[in-house]
Amino acid sequence: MMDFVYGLLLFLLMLNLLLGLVRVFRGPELVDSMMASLLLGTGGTALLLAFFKITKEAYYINLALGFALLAGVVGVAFAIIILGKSKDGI
Amino acid sequence: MAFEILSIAFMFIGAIFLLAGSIGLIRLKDTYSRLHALTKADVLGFGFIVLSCILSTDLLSHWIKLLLVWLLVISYSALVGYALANRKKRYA
Amino acid sequence: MLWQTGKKDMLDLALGLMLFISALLSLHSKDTMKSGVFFIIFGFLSGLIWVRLEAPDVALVEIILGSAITGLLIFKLVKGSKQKDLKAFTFTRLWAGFISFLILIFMLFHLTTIERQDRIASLVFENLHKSGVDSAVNAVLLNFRGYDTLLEVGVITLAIFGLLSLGLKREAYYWDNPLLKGFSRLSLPFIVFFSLYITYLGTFSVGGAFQGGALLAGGLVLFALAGQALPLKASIIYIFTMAGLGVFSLIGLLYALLGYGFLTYPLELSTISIMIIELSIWISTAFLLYTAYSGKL
Repeated sequence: MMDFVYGLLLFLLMLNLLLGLVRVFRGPELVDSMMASLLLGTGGTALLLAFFKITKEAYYINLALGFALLAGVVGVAFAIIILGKSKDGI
Repeated sequence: MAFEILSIAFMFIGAIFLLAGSIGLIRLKDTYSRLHALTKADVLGFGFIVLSCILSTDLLSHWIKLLLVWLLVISYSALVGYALANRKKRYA
Repeated sequence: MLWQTGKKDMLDLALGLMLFISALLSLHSKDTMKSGVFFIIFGFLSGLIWVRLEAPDVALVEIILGSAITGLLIFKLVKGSKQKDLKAFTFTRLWAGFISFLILIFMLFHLTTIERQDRIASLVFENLHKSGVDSAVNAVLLNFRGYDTLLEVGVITLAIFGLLSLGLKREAYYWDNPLLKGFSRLSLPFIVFFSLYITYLGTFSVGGAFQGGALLAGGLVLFALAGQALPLKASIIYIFTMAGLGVFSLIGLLYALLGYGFLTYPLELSTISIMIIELSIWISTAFLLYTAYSGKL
């Protein structure tokens, strides 16, 4: 029964990523792809934390922390590089 | 045992809030509204998931690291939301 | 047989399906930017598959290097290129499809006929106490097959040399915003500390020097995105960049001169040698990846 609960949980969390994919695919503008980076950061870290809860291995927290850090960098880089002109302040 | 049940319940609540944020991402019409969904509902759901992970372990080092993950996700969610909204308003 | 189904069948099916969908969308998207985003999602899903295959070290590398750092490089690439979609010649596409199909047939054949063989794994675990570290993955990486890792560090250094010698004009993208500046200044010390912790953790648990270096490179990129220059002298940056290859080969030569053989650590000194090598790989991977992103040394 526990396995079914865990499977359902992980499936729900993965559904997030799927919806993010749909938004990137259907998005009329470029900004919508950037939403995917935000969703991936939050939802992906949540998925890794769910793995920690299920397997109780300590290194998943390190994975989640590392991924959260880099997802932030990727999101900010997306906003600045894609949606801007180069070499300018504001 | 009670902690286990509470922890699983919190995780389901967190997953439902995350799903609410994602459904908002699909169904809302404007970029700014979608940013609302992502930076509010998603972060709330994530907070519940971190709470459930804190309840499921009893080591202090895990708690500190989980709190750090939560603080990090909150701050970078706000930052990326602000960056996206600002750049979109100025350039796109 | 490798058909043993795990307990979380729904998750595995969903993961595989989403991996396939994101790869398909990445290749057939009408816009190169969207292909880049799909590729990042694909990298993250591959990392999750490594997690499901119980290989957390490889999952860490895939998520950090294969998804995030590669994503940063793809953004700069796509922004600078004039081509709007991923079209190639028909002959190239047919040829690539044919080779992929052959690889698929090969994989399916082996998937159905392979049996579990534990010879090499048991050898590693028997000799683990002689290697100086407690993690099997890092023992293989830095002691038993240390020569491979030396050549890998050499390859990445040469790749960055190649990139620098192309002499391309690299635009600097940054945003002069106090919020971003404050966040990057607050998070950089934490990222330095955390990446060092991941590097140290590699000796007995999941972690390693490459993962830590890539994390630090991410922190440096965030620092540069706020429009700030690194407060290090150029000579220090040069030393850090070359430290990986330099220290690794120097240690190998030192042991050769002392009579043990190239890259053969004596038993008492193996832990300290591995730690010195890991620190040098950590700092040089960080600066090499940062140089790959920024385009100038």
